[in-house]
Order: sequence, then structure tokens, then C-alpha cells
Amino acid sequence: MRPVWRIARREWMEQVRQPGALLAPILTFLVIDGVVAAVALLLGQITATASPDDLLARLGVQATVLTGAASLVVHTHAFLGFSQLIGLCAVNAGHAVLHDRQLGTLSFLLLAPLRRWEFLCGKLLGSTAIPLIAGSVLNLAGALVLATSAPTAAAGAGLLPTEPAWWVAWALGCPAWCLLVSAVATVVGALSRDVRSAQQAVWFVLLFSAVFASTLLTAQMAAGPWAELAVAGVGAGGTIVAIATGAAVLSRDLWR
Amino acid sequence: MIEVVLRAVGRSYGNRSAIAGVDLEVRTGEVLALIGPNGGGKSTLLLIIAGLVTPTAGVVTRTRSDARIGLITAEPGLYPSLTGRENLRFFAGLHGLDPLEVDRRATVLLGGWNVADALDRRVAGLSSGTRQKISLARALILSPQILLLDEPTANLDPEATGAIHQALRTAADAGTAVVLATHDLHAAEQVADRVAVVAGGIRRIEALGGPRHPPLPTRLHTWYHEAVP
Repeated sequence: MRPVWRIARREWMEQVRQPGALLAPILTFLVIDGVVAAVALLLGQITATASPDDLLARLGVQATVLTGAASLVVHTHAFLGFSQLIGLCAVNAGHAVLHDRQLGTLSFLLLAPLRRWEFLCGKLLGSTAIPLIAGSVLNLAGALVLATSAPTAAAGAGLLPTEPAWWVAWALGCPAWCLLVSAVATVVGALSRDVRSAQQAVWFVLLFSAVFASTLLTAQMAAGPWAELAVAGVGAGGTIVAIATGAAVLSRDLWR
Repeated sequence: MIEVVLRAVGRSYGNRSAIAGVDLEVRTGEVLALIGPNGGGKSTLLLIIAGLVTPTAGVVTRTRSDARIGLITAEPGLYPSLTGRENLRFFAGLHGLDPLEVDRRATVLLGGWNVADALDRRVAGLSSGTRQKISLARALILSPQILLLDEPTANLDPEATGAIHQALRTAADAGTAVVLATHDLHAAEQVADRVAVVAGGIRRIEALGGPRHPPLPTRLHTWYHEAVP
């Protein structure tokens, strides 16, 4: 495992020294979680200050609208959180091998006594670490705000940190699917000849897979922790298959 | 001792043949220079010897399956946001070298070329000559059995070029099999023991025996232009 760790560590070091690579995931989740938290707090404020004599309140319209809005906020937060995290990880990973091809370092990596799966795993772990950590921490902060605001806490049962399914989804399901989509993106990027074709191919992969995985992860949270665990298992199994397949494909002739 | 043997080796990219019918032996303690025109297949041949490109025809046999291979290309192939030391530790670490041993060897090598301060500076801020010296150090730190150089002195000043030529000659004298692909006939004449003219295959191969002084360059130019009209 030492080569995997070495490659992952170098990927990490390079990203930490590039402000753009560090800021992109942080800003993405600051914006998503900031907006969602602000809306949740606003909804809480409206509910708290609603007059019992209000005509809309008496007709039940206000409650329906507020509940619908709160539910929309919670679902949007979960879906955007998953999809953006999967997307950021896949973009980073999709560029990982191509970056080495551009810098001219790929030949030197391939000369090392390194198995292809070790190479892929190192790239995968190193390129996804920063978005995964930044996204998970900021998403937890946003979700805690939703859980403390009365309307969103009531409307978002099963989709907030008060439920075990949320923790399974964020601790296991989302990382597993991030790694699966990123593994496919890494291989696709490695097989691409230039940045443009890599970007197009990675975008094709991540658009459909991010929407699919995010829908699955969000929907299964309401079904409970075991359902979410099954989703995570599919993601983890898929990651192993993707790495094994990628290692076999790349071993033929990665250098061009 | 023979390190690598190529028999009837060829490589095609689609319908285009880069090289064909190459028979070649890479020998221990010898500098073999590959000279030839652009697109003649020198780099492809070098990459086949390195094992980075799979030939589409013929057989490549290595005497030692686990031979350490050092490679130097025209582009230094270093991570710009990492320091020289971090680059060397990373690449040597993949070959199982201890970081302290890497530091020791790097200090000796780069100190000898008067660029020891490059170890703690980010590669992005270094001159192309210094980067190439770090790239050379990366290859030599491994104590390679086979050292492959693809236009290593392109865009370098005479001082850096001289340092690289001296280093590869020293490596060959210490028992490394060195293969140098170059356009520079003068460099080939100065450092090589054998010269092969590569243009779609090996057109001619000659040993450069005896003292290294004129009229050998004239002979080399004549061979070259006979082989590549």
C-alpha cells in the first residue's frame, strides 16, 4: 500500500499548494450551504412570527406553503450536496492522469515498479480527498442548521443528521459513490489524448452518474439506514470493479 | 554484458509505421547514441527499450527483468509546485529508496553541478537548465542499470549540456548501459561508443573507436547524410 499512499500524498500536496483547487470545493459548499441555511432560518422566522389571526394561516394555506418550501429546501440541500460533491471529485480525478501526461511526469511514474491498480488508487484517493473533506464538513454544518430550524426539521424527517440514515449516507454512501464515479472518470481521463476530449468524456460520465447517484442517495435516506447501507455497498463494489477494469485497460499501453 | 536485445522490432501507430525491423543490442558500460531526423523513430525506439511502448512486431528481451531504468527527456517532467527535494523523494520513493538516502545522493549530485540550493526551491521558479539537472539527478539517484536519454540537452546552455554529457559518460564508465537519442552529432561523437542512425529503422550502426578528435565529426556527418539523404 505504500506506493498508493505516496501517490495520494503527492496529489494532495499539489492541490493544497494550488489555491484554485482548494477554494473551488470550499466556495461551492459555502454557497450551497449558506443559501440553504439562510432560507431555513427565514422559514423559521416566518413560522415563529405568523399571527394566529392571519387569514391564510386559518385557511391552512400558509402551513401548506411553508411545509412545501421547507421540504423543498431539505431535499434540494441533500441532492445538491451529493451531486456537487460527486461532480467535484470526478472532475479532479478525471484530470489526475492527464495532468501527469501534460507535465511529462507520466513516463517517470510508469517506469516505477508500480502496479496499475496502485497507480489508479493513489490518484483516486489523492484527487478526491480535499473535495470529500471540505464537502462533508460544510454539508454537515448546513444540515445542522436545517435540523435546528423548526419548519425544515419537521419537513425533512429522515434527511437530516437527527436520523442514522443521514450519517450512513454521508459517511459511507456518498464517499463510495464519489469514488466509483471518480474511478471511471480517472480511467476515462487517462485514456483521453487531450484536455478537451477528457473534459467532454468526464462530463458525459459525471452528468448522468451524479444525477443518478444523488437521486438514489437522497431517496434511500427516507427508507432508513439499511437501505442506505445497501446503496453504499453497491458504490463500494462498483469502485472495486471500476479500478480492476481500469487497471486492466490501462496496462496495455498507457503511454502514447 | 548485454542488457536489452531487440529482434525485428517494429511499432506502428494505425497505418503509420514509426520503426520496423530493428535489431539492436544495448550493452553494459556503453553509450549508444541514436541519431536521425525528426519522426525517424528515435523516441519510439527509446520508449520500447524502456518498456513504456509495446512493440507491434518483434521481441524485446531484457537480461534482468527487474533492471532499474533511468529516463531523461527534453521536458524535465517534474511537478512545478513541489520543491526539487520533494520531487526527488517522491520519484525515488516509488522505487523504494529511503528519503534520507535520496537527500544524501541528491546533495552530492546537485552540489557537484553547483545547484544544491534548487533542492529547497519550488521547481516552478527554477531555470530550464536547473530543472534538467534535477531530472538527471532523479535518474542517477536510482543507480540505474539502464539510462535512457531523449534529447536531454535540447534548449540547454553549453554549461548544462556539458554537465549532462559528463554525467552520462561517468555512468557508462561505472557500468550503466546508456542510450542517448539526439540530433546533436557533435554530442554523439563526444560521448558515444556506438552510433546508430535511426530513420524508420536502423539504417546504419558504427562503433566509434580510438581517440575522440577530428576528423570523426566529418565521418559522422558523412555517415548521417549517406543514411538520411
